[in-house]
Amino acid sequence: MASDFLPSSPLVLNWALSNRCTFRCRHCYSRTEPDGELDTATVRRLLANVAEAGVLSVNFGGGEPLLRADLLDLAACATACGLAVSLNSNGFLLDRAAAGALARAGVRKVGISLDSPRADVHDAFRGVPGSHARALAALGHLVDAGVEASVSCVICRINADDLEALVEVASAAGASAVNFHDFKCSGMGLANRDELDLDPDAWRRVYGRALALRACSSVRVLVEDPVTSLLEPRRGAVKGSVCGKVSLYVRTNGDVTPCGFIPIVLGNLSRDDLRAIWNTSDVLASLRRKRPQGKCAGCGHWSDCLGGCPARALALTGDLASPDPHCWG
Amino acid sequence: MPRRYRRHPDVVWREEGAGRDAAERGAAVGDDIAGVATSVLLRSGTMLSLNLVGTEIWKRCDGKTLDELVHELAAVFDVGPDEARSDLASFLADLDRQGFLDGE
Repeated sequence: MASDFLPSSPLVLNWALSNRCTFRCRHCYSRTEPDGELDTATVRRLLANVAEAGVLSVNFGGGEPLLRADLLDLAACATACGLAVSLNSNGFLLDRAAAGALARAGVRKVGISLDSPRADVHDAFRGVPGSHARALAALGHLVDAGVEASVSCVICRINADDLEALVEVASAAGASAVNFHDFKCSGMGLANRDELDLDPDAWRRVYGRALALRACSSVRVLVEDPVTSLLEPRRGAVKGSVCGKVSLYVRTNGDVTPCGFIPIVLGNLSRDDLRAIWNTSDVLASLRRKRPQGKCAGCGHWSDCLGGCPARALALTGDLASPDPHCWG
Repeated sequence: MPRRYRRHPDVVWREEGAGRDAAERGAAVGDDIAGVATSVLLRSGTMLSLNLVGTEIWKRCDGKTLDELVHELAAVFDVGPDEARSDLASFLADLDRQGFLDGE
């Protein structure tokens, strides 16, 4: 395997199609994002452009992407361009017909948000009664339609004690994987941080349990936070955060940022060449060439962790290169 | 039945043209090109980069057995079958461990 490798263009674009949503979750980052949606023809043109630039995969999100009336058209277009298409949804609108239509449009994978194994907790957090049942039903509809279904869960105070039960519920509903995401302190997540975030020692304990679940679960359990490298070495060629090294984020108006949680605009797909953004951005260069600061200096895990999540560091310290505030080291 | 090696259907990948050019230029003048990436693979957020030899193996993982891969690669890279088999088995085991291969 080669090492110290930077792809010539991003492999994945996480693409917000709409900031509209059926819910008003207290950790959501998109509710504070700028308004404005690109029209169908423009998104189609940009999808062709990014495929030409070498992007392999697009993951549609938002907001709730199923609120876009042209979602199937855009998914089919992306598929026709040779892109692997996935999306994240809250599942509320994803009935049997929608699942079948997504499959026919070429969508390979759908991640359904699930905040808790308990319906009352999930529904209260999402603000809509019945949302838990609809999310679980969506998983079943996707599996029946031949689409790989997974659960996405942002770990926070409402679910940190229930990870094991959540994996069981996800498995029973047909999910092939559970993606545990780290709480990012962006958007509403920053406003509600005191209510939702854990302290560093609690993160250490909860990640230990999440990682242990991989060995005893019938579904794949994925934990993406780079600070977990303090507990075990990370797999793959990318050390630290993948943002700006594997993937970029596209806002609903075409603005490009390193990820959905770093509100630094690098360019706009309608105006700028994606490869040029990828290869000339000073912000991306700084993300790829972080140097240890503060407690990271001298830490034995630096080469694997690279300071953890830069979005969290930026949100809480104003500096992308600061040590991750979740780090317990 | 010998195992037939296939790329896992969930893996997306591409060759890196600039990397391949650099590797071929380096090989022509005898440089060590083991660390020059010529392709990139991605599955479920895990990225791997492969050098020239790894890429040629990866491209041939379309249902071939180990014997068939050894035969093809020994011819392409001008190495003996025994050396090719040992290196190949190790490389495939590494890809397999990381979930990038399919097939029985």
